[in-house]
Amino acid sequence: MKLRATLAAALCMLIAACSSVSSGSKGAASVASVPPSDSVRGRVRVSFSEPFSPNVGPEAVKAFVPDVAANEADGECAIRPVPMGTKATSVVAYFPGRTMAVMTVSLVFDSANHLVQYSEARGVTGLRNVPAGASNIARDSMLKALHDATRTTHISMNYALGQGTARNYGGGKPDNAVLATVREIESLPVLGPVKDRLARVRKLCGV
Amino acid sequence: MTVSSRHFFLTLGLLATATLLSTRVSLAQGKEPLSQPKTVPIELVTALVGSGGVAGPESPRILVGSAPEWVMSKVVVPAGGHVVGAAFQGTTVLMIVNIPAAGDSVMPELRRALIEHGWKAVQAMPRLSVGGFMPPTPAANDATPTHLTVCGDGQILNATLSRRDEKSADVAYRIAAQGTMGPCHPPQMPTLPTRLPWPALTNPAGTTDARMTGECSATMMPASGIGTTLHTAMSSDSIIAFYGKQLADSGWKAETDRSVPVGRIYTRTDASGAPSELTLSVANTAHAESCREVYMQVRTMKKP
Repeated sequence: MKLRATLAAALCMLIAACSSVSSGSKGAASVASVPPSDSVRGRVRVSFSEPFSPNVGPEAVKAFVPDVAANEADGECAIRPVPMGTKATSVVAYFPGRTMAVMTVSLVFDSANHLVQYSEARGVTGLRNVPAGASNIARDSMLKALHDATRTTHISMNYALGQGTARNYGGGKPDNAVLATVREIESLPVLGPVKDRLARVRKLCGV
Repeated sequence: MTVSSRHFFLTLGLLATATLLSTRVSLAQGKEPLSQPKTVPIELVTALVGSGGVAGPESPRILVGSAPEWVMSKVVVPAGGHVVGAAFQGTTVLMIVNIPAAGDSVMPELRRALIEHGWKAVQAMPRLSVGGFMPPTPAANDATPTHLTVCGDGQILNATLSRRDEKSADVAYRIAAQGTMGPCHPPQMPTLPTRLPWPALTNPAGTTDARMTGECSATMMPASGIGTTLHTAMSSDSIIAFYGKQLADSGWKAETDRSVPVGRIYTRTDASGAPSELTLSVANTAHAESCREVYMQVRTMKKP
């Protein structure tokens, strides 16, 4: 069990490092500066997730129920290059809008424009009203307090690894997660299914 | 097992997992790649560049003949118009709509339609209200025959009309995130520590303080009180009525049984119960028929 949890946590770290999208990740987050050069732009964001123990197997996947319902009303999009020195692109859809999002869907496309990462957060979608000049430590504390107070459902699919997770966490309740293949996660009816939401987000954002 | 050897085996495990799953990768990557048109019509390029483009470190996503769905749900396309295309970068979208037969009323009608669609008019910029005669409020610049600005929830929409020829025109819609300052977030005016004794009166639209422009030369210099000189075609009575409405709106009552040669007396009781008396008078200058000197004096009396 320990090895499985560690493996899952390691996968999450990989996913976070590849996508550089830290929506809804629980725990510490740090930003490391990289000296600019011709081939490397700006900075690299490295995110860490707390380890969690997902259940595996078809029965566990079928039994998974998201604690936070999807909200696909309205929607706004933002599109940005992923700040990792590559030509990768991140597209984020905010529901119902950017300033009051209760659900976000992030898509990461690699430099060949292929979809490599899907990440959906329901519940905690990020920090708002952060005081100007707040340190990373202060931001991290605010994020942790927010997660402690709010139940979040997070769905993540890494197309490069062909693996995904669905997880309920925070809000003072125990974690509940499953680890499965991308195909299993994206077609799970209780999640939407995710493949339909993916198509809707791509249409919404014009990508 | 040592920590380092455990990490070694974990790394091996990860590599093995990735290799085993590589067959699934090709299946999963059947998703359509991020689309970007190989060619862009010159009309769209011209309109996008002419409208200022979208700023950002990377090239924007370009859509030909369409715009992102979330943008279409937020805007109104004038009757007969069609989407030429759009550029999308960050939180900014620039969309071009062509109207084959664009009349002069396109932008006012578009502004009205956008406000009906949920956008809000730009708030008037607040002015420091210190008292005395103040220049007229500048005309709102959020709507002209070729430009409009409206505010949404966290967003600002600017639309600009550019004529292609005598009939056809392009409307460039620019939707962007609102900044902390700007037309949708006018700055707050500071509160002054002391108040002047005179109420703030806004001068009639289209007038300037003619003493500054040299159009009129003032002859009536108040010993106490405050004055302004207007270059206007308004009659003295009209000027009194114009300022009188503002005074009435702020609680001053016209004394109908007391009059001054060319003017009027107003009274008001402040919060402490002390009565005040305001005298407003208008006089023609000796130099020009269209120059009017307006004078205001306020006296605060003891409580009865």
